[in-house]
Amino acid sequence: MTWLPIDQTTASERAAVLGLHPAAHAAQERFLARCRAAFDAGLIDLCTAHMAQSLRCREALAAYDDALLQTLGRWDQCVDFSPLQRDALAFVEQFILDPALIDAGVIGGLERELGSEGVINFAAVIAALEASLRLSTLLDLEPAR
Amino acid sequence: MKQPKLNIPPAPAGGDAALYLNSLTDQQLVADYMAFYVAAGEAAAVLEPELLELVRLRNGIAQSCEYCMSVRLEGGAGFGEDIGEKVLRFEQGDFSERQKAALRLADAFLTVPSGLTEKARQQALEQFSPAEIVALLLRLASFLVNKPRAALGIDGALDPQRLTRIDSAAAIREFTPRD
Repeated sequence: MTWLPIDQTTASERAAVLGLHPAAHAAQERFLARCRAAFDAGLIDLCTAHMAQSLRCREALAAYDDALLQTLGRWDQCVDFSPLQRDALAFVEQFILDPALIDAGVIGGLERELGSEGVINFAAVIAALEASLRLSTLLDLEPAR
Repeated sequence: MKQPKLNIPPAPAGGDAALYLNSLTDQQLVADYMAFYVAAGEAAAVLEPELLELVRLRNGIAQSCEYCMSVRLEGGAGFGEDIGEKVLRFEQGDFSERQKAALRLADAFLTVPSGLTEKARQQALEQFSPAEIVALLLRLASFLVNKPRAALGIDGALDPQRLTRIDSAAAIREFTPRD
């Protein structure tokens, strides 16, 4: 449960907390929806799950099954991921820690798969999703029921 | 001139790296991002401009974003050139308790958000209403657009020789795609 003292009258804690600023919350949700639709849903889901795992975001983690999270915990040793998925996971892993230190080789790998413009859009999408996860984690939002 | 990690030309000499990256990004993404940025700014208008500028600078430091640190928004008009160092060591500095409480939230948000201590939560609640805390965090979330710049190596200082004062309203107009 969030540590903010709020009266929850909505179905989700996210809506109750972020709904303190309805216009900004709605604008963020529209932006996030646009981001999720910008790439293959499976790829975005995989990256979101790995970021949620790294950040320990309870709200987001509740949406994923344990088997996927266990596999993601050792993704670099798992042969089931495609080259694009591997490059994307390497990218988000370092993006969370320090984006300035992302290796040019990782970006080059993504660029071969997505093109230059694709990498630029992918970075924008990951930044938006990560910011939302950080917000949720800091406020310790409950998973939606 | 900073070399991008992508196979694209660097930002034009003397140009604005943020605007350059903006122009290479899907314009529907940019439009929705700018709508969020503006709405988060309006929500955060209840907070002092100086406090918001401190938080923006803390984010710039976290991402090693040269561009972020080379500009000052309105709230930073009274800040000295050593403000980055002060923000990084804010607990030892002469900031108000309210500014320190905000910087603790920002620090956790930007590093390990699950590690925000019970004490830091209480200090935040002593200084801010829940609505102010949410506004601050939404604003911080809107600042994280600087991460792609840092990740892709397109974050060169706006003017490497000196700080550049930015008019927020003009910048929003410049960055928002036209229909």
